[in-house]
Amino acid sequence: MLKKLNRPSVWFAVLGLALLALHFWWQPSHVKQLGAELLHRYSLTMTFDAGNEDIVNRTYLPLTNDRQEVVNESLQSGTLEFTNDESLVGRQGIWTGFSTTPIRYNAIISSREQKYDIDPELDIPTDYPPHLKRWLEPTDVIQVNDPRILELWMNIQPKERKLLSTLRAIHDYTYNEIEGAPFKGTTDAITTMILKRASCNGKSRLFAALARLNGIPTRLVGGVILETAKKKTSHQWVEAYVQGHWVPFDPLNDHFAQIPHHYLELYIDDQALFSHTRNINFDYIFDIKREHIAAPLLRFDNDEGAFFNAASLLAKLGIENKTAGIFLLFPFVALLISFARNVFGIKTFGIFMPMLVSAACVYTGFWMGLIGFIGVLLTAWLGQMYFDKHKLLKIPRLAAIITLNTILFIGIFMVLGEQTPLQMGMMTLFPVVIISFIAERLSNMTQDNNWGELFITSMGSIVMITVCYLAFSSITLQSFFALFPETLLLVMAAQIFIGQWTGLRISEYMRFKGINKQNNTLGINQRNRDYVYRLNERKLLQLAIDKIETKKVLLQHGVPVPQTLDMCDSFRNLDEFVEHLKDFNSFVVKPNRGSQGNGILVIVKNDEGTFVTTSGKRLSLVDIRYHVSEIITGNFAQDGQPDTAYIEPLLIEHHGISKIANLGLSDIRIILCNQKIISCMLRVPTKLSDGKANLHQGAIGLSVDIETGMTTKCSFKGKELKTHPDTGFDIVGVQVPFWNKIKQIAENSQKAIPLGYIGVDICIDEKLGPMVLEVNGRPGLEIQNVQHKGFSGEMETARDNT
Amino acid sequence: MTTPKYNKGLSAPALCAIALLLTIGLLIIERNEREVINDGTLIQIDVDDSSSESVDSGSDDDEFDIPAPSPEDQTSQGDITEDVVKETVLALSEMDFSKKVLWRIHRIDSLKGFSEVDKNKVLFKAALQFFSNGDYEKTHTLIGKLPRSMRHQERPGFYYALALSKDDKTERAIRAYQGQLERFPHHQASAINYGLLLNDAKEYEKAVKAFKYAINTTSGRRKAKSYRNLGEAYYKLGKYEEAAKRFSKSIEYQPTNSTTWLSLAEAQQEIPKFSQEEVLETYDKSVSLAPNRYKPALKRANYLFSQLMFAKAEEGYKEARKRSSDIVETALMQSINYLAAGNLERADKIASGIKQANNDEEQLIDLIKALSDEDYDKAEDTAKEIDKEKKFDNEELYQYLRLKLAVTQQDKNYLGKLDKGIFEHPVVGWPSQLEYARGLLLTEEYQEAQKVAETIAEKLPNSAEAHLVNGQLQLHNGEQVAGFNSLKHAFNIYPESRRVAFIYAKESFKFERYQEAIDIINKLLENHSKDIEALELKAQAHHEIGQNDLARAAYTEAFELDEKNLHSAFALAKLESDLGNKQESLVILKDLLDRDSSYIGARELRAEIHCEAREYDECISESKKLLALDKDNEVAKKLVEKHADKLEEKASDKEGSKENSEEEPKEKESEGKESEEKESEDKKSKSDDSKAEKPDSKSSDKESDDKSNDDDDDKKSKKNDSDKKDD
Repeated sequence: MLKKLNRPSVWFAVLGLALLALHFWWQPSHVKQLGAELLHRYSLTMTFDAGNEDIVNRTYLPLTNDRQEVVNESLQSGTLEFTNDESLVGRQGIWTGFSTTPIRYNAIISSREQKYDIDPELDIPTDYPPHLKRWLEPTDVIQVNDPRILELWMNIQPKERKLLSTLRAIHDYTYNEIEGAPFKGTTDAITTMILKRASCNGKSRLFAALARLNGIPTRLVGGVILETAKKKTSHQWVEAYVQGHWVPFDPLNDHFAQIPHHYLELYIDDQALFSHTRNINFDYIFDIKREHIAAPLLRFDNDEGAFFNAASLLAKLGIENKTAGIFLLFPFVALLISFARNVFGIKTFGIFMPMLVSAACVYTGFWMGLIGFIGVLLTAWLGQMYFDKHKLLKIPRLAAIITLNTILFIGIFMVLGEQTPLQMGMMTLFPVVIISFIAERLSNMTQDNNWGELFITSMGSIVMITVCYLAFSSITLQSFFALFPETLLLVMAAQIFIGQWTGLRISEYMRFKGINKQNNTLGINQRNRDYVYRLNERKLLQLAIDKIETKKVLLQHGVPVPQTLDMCDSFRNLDEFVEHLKDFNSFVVKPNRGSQGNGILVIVKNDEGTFVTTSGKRLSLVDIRYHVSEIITGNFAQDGQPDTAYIEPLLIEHHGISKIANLGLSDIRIILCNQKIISCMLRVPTKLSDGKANLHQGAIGLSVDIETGMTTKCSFKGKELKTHPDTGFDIVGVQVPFWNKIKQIAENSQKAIPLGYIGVDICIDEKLGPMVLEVNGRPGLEIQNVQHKGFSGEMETARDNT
Repeated sequence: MTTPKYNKGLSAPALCAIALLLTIGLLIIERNEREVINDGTLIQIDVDDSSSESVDSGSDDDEFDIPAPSPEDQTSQGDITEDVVKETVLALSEMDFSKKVLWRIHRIDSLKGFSEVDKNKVLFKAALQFFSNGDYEKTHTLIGKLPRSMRHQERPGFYYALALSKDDKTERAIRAYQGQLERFPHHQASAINYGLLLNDAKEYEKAVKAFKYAINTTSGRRKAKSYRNLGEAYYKLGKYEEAAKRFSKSIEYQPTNSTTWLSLAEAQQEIPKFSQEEVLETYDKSVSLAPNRYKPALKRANYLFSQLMFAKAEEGYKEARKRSSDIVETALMQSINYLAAGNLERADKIASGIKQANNDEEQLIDLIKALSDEDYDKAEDTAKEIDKEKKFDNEELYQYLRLKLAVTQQDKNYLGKLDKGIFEHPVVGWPSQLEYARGLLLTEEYQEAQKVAETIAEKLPNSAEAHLVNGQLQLHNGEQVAGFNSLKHAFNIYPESRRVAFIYAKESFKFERYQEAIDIINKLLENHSKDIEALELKAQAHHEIGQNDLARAAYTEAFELDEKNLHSAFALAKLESDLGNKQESLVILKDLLDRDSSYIGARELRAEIHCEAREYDECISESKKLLALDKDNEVAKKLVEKHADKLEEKASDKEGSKENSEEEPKEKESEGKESEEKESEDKKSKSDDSKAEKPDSKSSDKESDDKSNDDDDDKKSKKNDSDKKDD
């Protein structure tokens, strides 16, 4: 048991949990700080037509006080000179000078609700300190001394003249009896009283007049209601002075002695929110968005003593809180991706591409991001198709696609017009990131007509983008990782666990669902960890990939291989190489380090300079030259590095096998583990596979009995077949010729190239007999489906026997 | 290895299930969090329970806060009766339980039969009893013995900390409050007391934090208190702007608290942007809010004193004395203020009336008395004694008085070596500088003096005194225009002051601006119609510009104001004789000598007039009378010598001798007068005081101040006058 626990993942988990527990115990206050904070993105745009004159423009800007906080603000004033005039009334921004560009003010505002509980026993004070006296004076629009106001008060006054009851009476009257109406401009107290209809400012003035009449200092407050909208309406309410507090009342929206969290105060007293030079066609708009943000990303100077906050370190570097949140979540999201790939088996374009795309989505919004992603994908794909036609080489082609995408984005911005610069900045990230990861895969898939695969991968990508986006935008996770960075140890532990986990993936449950009855199936995780990494040396894996080298080594050990007629590893030799091709009647061009049969060109006939492929396509020398140059560029290589092209003579299928299918060269895949033959199959090409003996591309796999060399079963796309779908020949019960020799060759190959876990591909030439085409250090697992049984147990026995 | 053959460990679906569970958990938390809208605040506005605070209730001083026990405390007592508590207290007060463990204390008879918990409750009640008896040490020892579960409750924890702080166990108290606040972060009284304690322990930085916290947790009156004390802490840290801000905030919550207003005034005093008027207004507010408390009045008066407004300060001190007459501090400052204003008699009287002074104060009082009695030797002795003291309570007051002494004695050494540190002091700083400037003026270091005076005048543009000295010095240094501007400014600021006006007039006279001098004196006389000196000056000025009738009228008025004022009469006689009206002059002189037959100057003049008129008999007889009064009288001797033969021969050579004779007696006379004055007092002529007192015994202190303050200058100008005449 203990031994079982002595694993790095357990150690990391224990360390992480211990630190976390210590942290909880040491700083219990941190738990309270986790959580969301509702913020408002407040943006004010002022436009004007200055003509040729200098202008002056003033407006009140939000300021920080007891209940509202300007978290950060930014200003675009163009060429105008900006001054900040802070007074008791409010903070007035003044712009002077000449400019044609609009003024933009942005701020993030956090505000709270405030309620007041006034003791009903409180009397109305008779005297106030001198600085409050002005809030009792009448003004032009608050006609305190008008007899009509007094008369009104006589009618509505409460029985008992206490502070609270007086305020209540005034509030009830102004809220209930005065009808709310969207009046524009200023309404004074008397007008409001007479019309019995008014907007917020009329109601507020009447409130103030009645309160001042009763000797309660009252002042008007102006501001904006913060709600997700684009609007032009501002709001006014009142504040009454009660024992050192300015208690808010809103007679329009019925807030008695309370101010809701979404009220933003801008100025005090009866002021105009905007004042500007005459006749400049002034216009303004408030653009407000509500947003939840993880509080720890924003507030570091917590009174409760955040002794460590990872986000604060990032903020010191000037990283914006959103970016900091994403940064802190990268390891976690990477864990999600590794989980999705290794446990679920979801396929995506590029491994960490969904992470990057979803990070960009955080800035642009999910749907915008997704649309952008698909747009880029489509552009890349269409571009690929177009450039393919004109036979561009790989790297310039990618460059051209990037240009295409950039043009597309410029077009989008022109159409969309106003977008915040942030979004623009992030959008430009898309082409680079995505194209470099995806476009190539995409083009390969489309070239191979592998539509199913393409669809699955695209869906996988979208699912992963969604999941990653959800993780990135999780407030809980953001705040947790900021305040408890030791959680990263747990993430690490999970990552290590997944790295050591060798169970069957969910996708493999689907793939091997027919054969997994005995629970004996070997999954990719297990293959990689227990066999490839354990038994196969890196150096030998490299050797297996390099086919020319492999052939040399095999030849030295007396294993028969096809002859290498010529090879070409650089453009310098290209012309010479292509010229040489004319001499052959039939041949095969192969990329040295290709995989899955990609890039293999089979020429069956040389029709006086025109080359005919297996499927009857006619190619000119130029076409072949292009193909070879693509191979040299590394277009078909597994790692994308520059590659070597080589030619082999066209092998003639042995009649014993060609009686099954004559569409191309079949081959026999034998899996060996430590000199023991585990499994073998015969791969027969179909029309769908374009003459290639590759199961992914649609070839038929025939299971071959190891002892006898008889084909036993055939599965093709999950169905059992008795005959070849194209030719109709019987395919079951066929004896593979030279079977014992083939087994011998396979074993010898493993001796020559001592990979512990090896797949040897052997084909049988009519004249030359069995020959090793290539060896594979990471043979696929589809053979289990062909054999209709898993070989996990056999592999284990073979592994442990040596 | 015996590993099973097939796949083992967690399968993918299991892992997915785990992941799914985690995700669901996360989603639930996330959902809850998204719903959280920023916490609102509820502010309760209660009825202000401290309406009586405008009157002297100790509660607006910064006492530790003791909240009234909440009703639930009483209800949950069960069978714990008052008697049990009383018995326990009795038993405990008889024994020394400080070294006993809790279970031994539990064995007290009165506690028998109670459960463990109830025993502890009784003990806590007993501790409260000790607390209200003022036995703080017993209180905290007892509570400290209680088990943690009890001690860490709200009330025991609070009283434990409170008793510790009252017992001056500051460090332990701080820790106790910290613990209390960790357990009960919203216990308002604890939050405030913690801050107060830190303030007491002079840990102002920490106190600032504590009060900031207290502000967040408290409401109503306590909030005001928190703000005030936060301001206090800032004040102590020297952050006056911050302090003033907090005091204003506190006033917003509790506008009737005199202490806060006072603190605000003190803070404003330190901030240059507040003008004198604003500070004074704040002081006034504080004084008016607490009609029975002396402290605001005293502080206000101190401020006035420090701003060199001695007359107003005097009223302020009177107000402070009225509120609480026995405070030594007030009386001391009052007498010093009188001293500064030159009202020696009053200073003496006040100083003698001080009771219950401690040693240091006693010495100061002695010094003040010596100074006001013009007993400078004694003053020096006292000063030396005080110098010997290692630590002196009112060091700055002493420094100021010592400086004053040095100035009156024109002690150049002391002035040269003066420690300028005293100039920075908030109370005696400016008065010291003024005194220093005056000292420099007297020791004739005009340049240096002017520098000092200019700074004073610049910094205290509202102080007439400052401008006065500055103006005098500027005149001395030849800056006539600037000097007169300063004097005029001083006069404009404080036209009621006799002293300012008189010096202004005198200087004008000196610089031959006779008409200006007359104008000013006329204005002066509007306020002080019985000012003889001014009248005489006026007469002189009139005489200089030839308005002899007016001059005569002025002299006559001066004489009529006070029958005993023979000097005016003499001056009048002299005027008449100069004008050639010998007969008139003789009549006046006769009248004069009838009142005081020993007035030498008058006799000399009479003798000369007679001689001049060649009535040698009368002349000689007058001279002889003179000699009888004063054997060595040169004038008389000369006259006798010269005219003895002329009586027979009637020599024709009279003119020269007459001129000589006229000159000499005059000098004598002025010298004589000076020596007279010197006998009675050095620079502050008593005669002036008495002049002011005698004609109008009810005359306001202000006037007398100004007069007495003027004295040295007066004399100087007098001297100058005579010099001029000599020329």
